[in-house]
Parts: sequence; C-alpha cells; structure tokens
Amino acid sequence: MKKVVVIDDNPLMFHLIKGWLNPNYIDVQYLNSLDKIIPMLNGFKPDLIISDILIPGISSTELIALFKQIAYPKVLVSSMDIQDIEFFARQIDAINYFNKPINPKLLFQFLQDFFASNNK
Amino acid sequence: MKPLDIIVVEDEKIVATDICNCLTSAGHQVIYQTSSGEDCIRNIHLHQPELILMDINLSGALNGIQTAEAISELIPVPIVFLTAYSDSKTLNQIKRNGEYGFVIKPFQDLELLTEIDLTLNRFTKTYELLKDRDYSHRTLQETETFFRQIVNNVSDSIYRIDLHGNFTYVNPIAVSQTGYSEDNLLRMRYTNLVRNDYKQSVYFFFKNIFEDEINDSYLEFPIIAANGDEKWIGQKIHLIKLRNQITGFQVIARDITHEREFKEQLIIAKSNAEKTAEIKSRFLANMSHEIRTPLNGIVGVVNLLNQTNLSEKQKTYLNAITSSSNQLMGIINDVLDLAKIDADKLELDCTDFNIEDLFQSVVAVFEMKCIEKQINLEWFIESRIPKFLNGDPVRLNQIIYNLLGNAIKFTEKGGILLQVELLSSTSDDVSILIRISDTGIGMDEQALNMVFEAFTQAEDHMSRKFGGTGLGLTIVKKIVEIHGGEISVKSQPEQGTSFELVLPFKKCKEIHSLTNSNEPVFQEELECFRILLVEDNKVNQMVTKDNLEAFKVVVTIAENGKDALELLKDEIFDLILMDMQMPILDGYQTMRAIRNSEDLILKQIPIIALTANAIDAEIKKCFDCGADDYLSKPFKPNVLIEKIHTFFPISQALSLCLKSKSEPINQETFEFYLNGRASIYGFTLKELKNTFHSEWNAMKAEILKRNDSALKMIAHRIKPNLSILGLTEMADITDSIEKMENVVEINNALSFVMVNLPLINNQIEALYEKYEKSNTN
Repeated sequence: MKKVVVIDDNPLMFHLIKGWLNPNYIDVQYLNSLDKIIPMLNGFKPDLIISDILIPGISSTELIALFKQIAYPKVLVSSMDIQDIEFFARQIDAINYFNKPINPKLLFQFLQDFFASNNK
Repeated sequence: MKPLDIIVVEDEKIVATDICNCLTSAGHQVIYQTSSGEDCIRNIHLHQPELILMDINLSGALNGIQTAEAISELIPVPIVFLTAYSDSKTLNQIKRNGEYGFVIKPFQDLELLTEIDLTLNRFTKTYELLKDRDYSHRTLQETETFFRQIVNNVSDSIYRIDLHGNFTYVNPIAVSQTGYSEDNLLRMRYTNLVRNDYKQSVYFFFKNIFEDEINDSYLEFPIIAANGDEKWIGQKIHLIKLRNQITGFQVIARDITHEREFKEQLIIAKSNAEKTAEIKSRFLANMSHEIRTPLNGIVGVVNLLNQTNLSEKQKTYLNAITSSSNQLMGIINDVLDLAKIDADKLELDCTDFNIEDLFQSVVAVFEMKCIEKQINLEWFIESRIPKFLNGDPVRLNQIIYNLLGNAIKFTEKGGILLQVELLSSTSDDVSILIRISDTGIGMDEQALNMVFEAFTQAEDHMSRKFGGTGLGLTIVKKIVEIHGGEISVKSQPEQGTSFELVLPFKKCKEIHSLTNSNEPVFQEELECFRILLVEDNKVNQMVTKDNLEAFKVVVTIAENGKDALELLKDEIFDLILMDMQMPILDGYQTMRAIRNSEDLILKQIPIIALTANAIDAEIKKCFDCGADDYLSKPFKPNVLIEKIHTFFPISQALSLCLKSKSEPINQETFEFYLNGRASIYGFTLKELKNTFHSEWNAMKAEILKRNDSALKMIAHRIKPNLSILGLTEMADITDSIEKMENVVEINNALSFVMVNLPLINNQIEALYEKYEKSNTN
C-alpha cells in the first residue's frame, strides 16, 4: 500500500485526489495546515507529499525552509503562474509540480511512473 | 562574726548578767532584757531583735516555749533556748521546730556563742526559703489580680466552654451581655443562648473547628438574652488544649448588634447611591438623545438651506445658527462623556488608523480660525513614527481637538506648535509624545493646580470672556488615563502654556496600504443606488433624503419597522439606513426580522444603524441585532456617503444577483476533473457549494474592513474551485484580482465575484438535485 499526504487549505483538493485514486492501493491522508506536519510525517511515513504553496499561517520563505528539512519526495501544486511554481519547486527539490486545479490524468500518469520507479 | 542585737529573757538575775557579759564581750549587743515571756511579746515590735535567748522557766504565766511560739507568729526571729532540764519532753518540743537552738545550763561561753551562730545560720536559710515561697505566692496573686481585673473590666464577654457546650467560666460582661447570672450561665449550655434558626450552624461550626483543630476562628450569630432581646455576637474562638488534647473552647465575644445595623444602613445607602448614579447616567443618555435629535434636524435643515440661493445677510445668519448648533452639540457631547467617565462606562474602541491623517484633519478644522486670529499654527510628526497605529482614533481626535482648541482660544498673538515625537518603540508597542505649546495668556501656579478639575477655568470672568463649559481638560485627562497615558502641563502667566501627552499605542498587525486612507468618493458609482431609509422623524427624513439625493441616490422612506418589512417584500434595495427608536416596530426588532428572513439575498442586505444614543452598550446592541455598521446622529452628509460607499461592492453584488445570469457551469470540465469517478460527484458538488458560501461571507467581511491583502488571498483560494467547474471567465477575474493595484478595478472585480458566487451556487444546487433524483430513480 502506497501512502500519500495532501497538504492544502482547500479540503476539496484533497477530496478530489482521494476520489481519483483507488483506495485499495493508495492511502491518502490530509493536512489543512503545517502546524502538525512533523509528528504526522513521523507517524505516517508517506511515500509522497503533495502540497500547496500558499498556506495560511506560514509565509512562502518559512515554507521553503520547512520543506528543505523534509526528506520525503515532494510535489508542489498551486494556482500561481507556472513559472512561479517551478521556482518554488526548485527551491525545495520537489520532484514535480502541477498547476491548480490539477489535471487528474497528468497526476495519475505521474503517480504511476513514480511508484513504478520506486518499486525497482 | 557579725554583731547581733539580742533580747535576753531570763528570770534568774545572775544567769542573766553572766549571759550579758558573755554576749557583750563577743561583740553582740543586748538591746533588751526581761524576766517574763509576756513582757518580751509586748516589746518585741519595739526592739526588732535579731536573735532571742530564752529561758524555759520564766516569771510570768507563759513558759519559754509558749513565748517563742507566740513571738514567731509576730516576727521571724531565731531563738536559742537556755534550759537547765535535759528532759526528753522539753527537748523534743524544741527539736520539733528546727528554727530553735538550745544550750543546756550550765554552759561554756563558747558553747553559747557557737549555738547562737548555728541557730542564726539555720534560721537564715529557712527564713529565706520561706521568704522566697512567700514572694512567689504574692507574685502569683498579683498576676492573677492583674488578669482578673482585665478580664472583669474588658467590654467583651470572655468565657470558656467544655466539649459538651457547658459554660465552665464566664466573666462579668458575659453576665451583663446575656442577662443571666453567673450561676445560671454555669448551669447552661452554650447553644441555649443561640437563636433557634442558628443553633444548628453554630453547633456544626464548633464541631468543625474541633475536628479540624482550627485554633483561631471567628463566627457571628444572634443570641437571645434573658429578657428576650436579640443581640448579634461576633466571637473569636480559641481551642483550650491540655497535654495536646482539646478540652474546650475559650471565647471572646463582642456585641456587634449596632455594628451590624450600621453596616446594613451603609449597604442600603450604597445601593441607593448606585441607583441614583444609574438614574443619572440614564437620564443623561436620554437627554442627550432628546437634545441631539432636534439638533440633528436643525443642523441638517441649515445645511440644506445653505445650498439654496441666499443673500449675504441670510448667509451670515445661517452661519450663526451653524456655529451655535455646533457649540451646543459640543457641550452635549462633553457632558455625556463626563457622565460616561463618571460611570466608568467610557470604553476605548481601538482600531488601526493613520496617525498623520488624524492630525491633518484636526489641524484643518482650526486653520481658518488661526488665519482669522492671525496666529501661526505649525505641526510636525517625527518620521520615525509608524504611519499606522492601533488605538482609539476618535478619542485621540477628541484629545487633540480640545487641547488645540484651548491653545487657539487663549492665544492672541504668536502661535501654536504641535509636535509629535517617538519616545520608544518595541516590536509590539509604540510610545508617543505629543506636545502642544502656545504663546497665549498662560496660567499662574494656582490656576495650574486646578486646570484638570471639572468646571474650572482659570477665573470665572475667563469663562465669560472665552466661553466653554470648562469640562474639556477634565475629559482629556480622563481619556488619556483610560488610554494608559499621562498628561502634564507647564505654564507661565503671559508666557504661554505647554501640554505634554505621553500615549502608548499598539503597532498594527496587518499591513495597510496607504491608498486606503485617502480614497476618493466615487460619486458616479452611487447613481441609482437604492436606499431604504427607515426613520420616523420627519425632519430627519427630509435631511437625510435630500443629502442622499444630492448624490443621485434613490431614497425610499419607511415610517417604521413594520412599513419597512412590508416594502422589503416587494422592492429591492441596495442598503438600509435604520433608525433605532421608532414607534410600532423599532430598529432592533426590524433588523432581527430581516436577518432571520428566509430570503437568502434580503438576509444579507447591508444595514447601517442610525443611533442618537451613541454609548458603547447601545452600539453593541445594534451589532448584536444584525447591523453591519452604525452612524451616530447627527452625522455629516459626507460621512454618510463614505459609509454607504464602503458597502457599495456588497450591495451591488446582492442586487445584481437578482437580475444577472451567471456563467454556466461546464459539465464536461467538471466531469474531466472527477476523472470518471461517479462516486464523488455528489460529494464534490456539495463541498464546492459550502466553500463558495463561506468564501462569500469571508469576502463580505474583508470588504467592510477594506483589507485588500486578505481579499486577494480569498480570490486566490477560490480560483481553482471555479476552474474545476469550467467557469473560465470567473476564474480569470479572480486571478486578475490578485494582481490589481487600482482600488476601483478591485471593487468592480469583487462586485462581479460577489454577484456571481451565489448564482453559481444556485446552479450547483440544481445539479445536485438532478443528481439526487437520478440516484433515487
């Protein structure tokens, strides 16, 4: 079973991603803020983190600093311009980034490739 | 050996002479010599001997032993017996008492002298021991007398009771306090005295202090004296302990009947005084309302009259009315403020404000006056002071207005300098020094001491000359204190006066853009704006209506709340101006009815409460009943327009909701984003609808706060949700809001979003119903 964390202040994004993915193969958990991220990650040990960039209560600089400490693979999503998302993605060594709303087909394809290469 | 004064009692002359010689040659002195015991006893006090030599057989009726016994009753003195007998009976009689010595005749001189010495020694030891015992006995007696006198003469009852509640000791005051005799009391139980309804609680109190070993306690309760009088007793109770066991209680009880009566009277007097104060403050609040309402009318009509064609003379008259009305309004406000301060009801209403704008606007008020008086008015604000501070701008305005007004009033030549300096600054707080100095008439020391007291101007003739209630500085000082600041004044007669204020402010948490503060009023936007004015006062109706119509606003009038609710059923309005005190249905009830209405759009209509009773409790009540904002009557036309303008985007959005058609949801895009998962269709629709609803409310709140950064954040949040529904036009507009700098553009874009979100929700609702139906089929 693969484990994914979705971090977004908009719960709808989580519900959609969870809805797209087969619950028998992927366990999707949700965080709406970054307050409790470290203990959550320590307990859940995800294979992948999918996170928004603009999250209330934390500035983007703080977010970069926080994500740099996190070793799990990260994917960034935002409704910012794609160049801006790319900039953030590079800062934190994210393995991919998507524009919001996420195109389900693209995400699906990415996850398939990612988990396949991980299994090797 | 110490020489002694000795009495010799001897009936045989020769023997006596012998003895005398022996004693004298040893250095002693024979102070008296007699042959009879009776004679010796008679003279004993006269001679005060240090020792007596006593023969057994004497010439009188008493023998030596009897005489000795009689003497020892009178004074303590050692006695040496001289006896020719050595019979055991006599010897035993003498030996029984260790204080006596004896020699058997005939004796040697040395024998006698030695016995005298020994007896004296023995006697001295015994005597001192006796003296000691006697002394401690006397001391004990004295101490007892000392304490007994205290106990008998204190004004409190003192008594002891045992563990069964029986009296074991009572002092005389206890007797007079209770009216029972000591004998009676000592046969009574303590609880017999206690008034019936208190018996149980007194019993449990004693039980408690016994069980918990509370050494010091106090209790008040009523007792019934022997004559049936009721007395209140306050008593201190101490535990009596014997070898660590509690054996009873020691009580000191005071009659507190009168004290209690006074206390009760005081409580009644206090509550009466409080009631009176409350009536006073209510009266003042009502009066201020009653005076403000017609004054509002006068000011309003004068403003309207000013806009008509008038001759110069008429204009002068009108100006006189305006200035008198303003003066009157000032006095009412002062009196009301002071009443509020007295009643501790003055509360600060802290918000973020632009300090420079505030000073600018106060100074502007006085500029004309200074030009007229030909005096200078200069002001500086230190640039290190943050532009935006958090405090009560209305009260700060009032402080500066008062001080500046005073400075100008009392200055005939020279000028006034207003300086604002930064004293200290931490991450959260700023402390600011405001100095207002003038070159006016100044004050002497006596006047300086009274300057902050109510109703004082330096001298009576001053108030006749310069006018004013003399309340201004009192209020200023109180407000400064409530704000946590300090005010001080320095002055020299004919040299001028300088007021210095130190005021603390909080730093603003939010970042304000400077454009917010100087925003112009967009007249054209208000064209055809539909306002419902709910107001019963005819003059106020006319004034407000005319003022609004000057901006081409369409005004409909409702006489009271009931009429307003009728009108709202059929007509659409952008905003409601609601008076609070009206006949039939007042403003509060009307607002509640509107907020509880089933009509989703009517429910959200902006309402500005109009209140003449501008006290904090009143304003809170307005908000509690559903007002979005309030205006304190009388209000200036431009204040009203500005306030209405802040509601513009919301009002417009709401009214457009009724007639616009929104961009249709693109079913295909939505299904694409569902990625073929039919299972989440209904759930996602519901989530979208909830999100839009809560974001709409958040937007409304932030629009009223004019918080552009928060609005941009909301726009950012809803953009992807709009995209999921394929609402590209809406998504583009929300996207553009993030980048907009122009206030008008943002307002328009926000209006568009505010209009469309509810309409989109209607579409979502329709889709959801369809989905539900298809599911049940």
